[in-house]
Amino acid sequence: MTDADLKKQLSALPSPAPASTAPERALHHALIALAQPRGGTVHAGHAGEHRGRALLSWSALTMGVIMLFTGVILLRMQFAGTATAGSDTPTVVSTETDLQTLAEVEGLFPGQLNAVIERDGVVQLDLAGSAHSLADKQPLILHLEGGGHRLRVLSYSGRSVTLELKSGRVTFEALITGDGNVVLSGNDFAWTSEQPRPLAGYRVQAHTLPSSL
Amino acid sequence: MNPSEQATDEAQLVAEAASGCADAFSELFKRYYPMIHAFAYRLSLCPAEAADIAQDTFIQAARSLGGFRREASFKNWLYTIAANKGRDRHRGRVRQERLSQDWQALHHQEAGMAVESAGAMAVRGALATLGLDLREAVTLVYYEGLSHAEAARILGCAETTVSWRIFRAKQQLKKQLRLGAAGGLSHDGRRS
Repeated sequence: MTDADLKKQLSALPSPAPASTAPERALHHALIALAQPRGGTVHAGHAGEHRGRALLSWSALTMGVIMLFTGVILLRMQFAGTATAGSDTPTVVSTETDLQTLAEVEGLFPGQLNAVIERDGVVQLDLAGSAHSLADKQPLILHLEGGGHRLRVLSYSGRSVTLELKSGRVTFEALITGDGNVVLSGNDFAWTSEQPRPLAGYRVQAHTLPSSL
Repeated sequence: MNPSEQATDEAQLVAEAASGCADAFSELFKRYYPMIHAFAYRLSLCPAEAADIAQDTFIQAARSLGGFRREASFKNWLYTIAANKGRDRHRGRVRQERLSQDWQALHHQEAGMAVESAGAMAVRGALATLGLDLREAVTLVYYEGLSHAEAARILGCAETTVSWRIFRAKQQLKKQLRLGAAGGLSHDGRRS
């Protein structure tokens, strides 16, 4: 069989039209998402007409900060004794502890957890303004090391993670692929554990965690 | 409208949608939903999954429009989101169960359909034997007509990786389609 034959055969597979209500439902949900307050910059030219949205964003941000400090207090206790700031030895935390931490924080903020971030022994929470789907949660862990700093990031596949790195703020979606690799997909970069390269000057390792022990 | 005017018009729509304009977003949705749905179907080979992936893609796009950088085209940006959503869903047990149900439904439908759909069944069966990474590459390059470089940017891998995946996919598809032609392959890619 030649490549041309293969192309011809592949073209025999039509794509079925979506169910009649599917586009309408998708647009409805997407417009709801569009109307929800989002974090990020409001362009100066639109500041006036979007003041309401900006205020909502600030409320969400304030809430996030409160939750973050609550998380810091709670999780400092959890990680005490396992993380040493500036230590030359990597932080040793068991998979069981990682999963427990994820489960407990997810329990406190159902569907809102983007990531548990441990930076040089200090733990912070990255929380979303709205809840993610609670189905099919695949936990993963990232290790970043660079510029004398170490970060451990616990998250679930499909969640958006924002990290403050030495080059600035980096946001990406952490995804587990079908073959068990971890992909970090940002607006202007993609990183994969299959071909790990430094990211923003940090050495990065990533792997999946079991869904349960 | 010429391509340049179309691009300007689209950039304007994206900017308005990013600032929360529902009409602009709806227009973009109308333009790209069929394309993303078709892409999602070829990734998942499951109509119900395709609808879910397409919906998730536009929800994510609505949330992330503020962060959209015009380095990539809006269309390729949507492909990237859809590919990610497809990967997410690919892992789920729910998908497996629904896929199985869909295969059965399709099998029953196709049993009563004309002979010309046998080709489509064979292709679907052969595509189903590919791993998701290979199917993503085949879908973007063969069905969506993108270059290896564009597909690589969407999939977040090197261009050579896409070329290698296409090479492996072609080998596998040819083998499966030959087997299918010999009558030994069921519509889900398994030997019967």
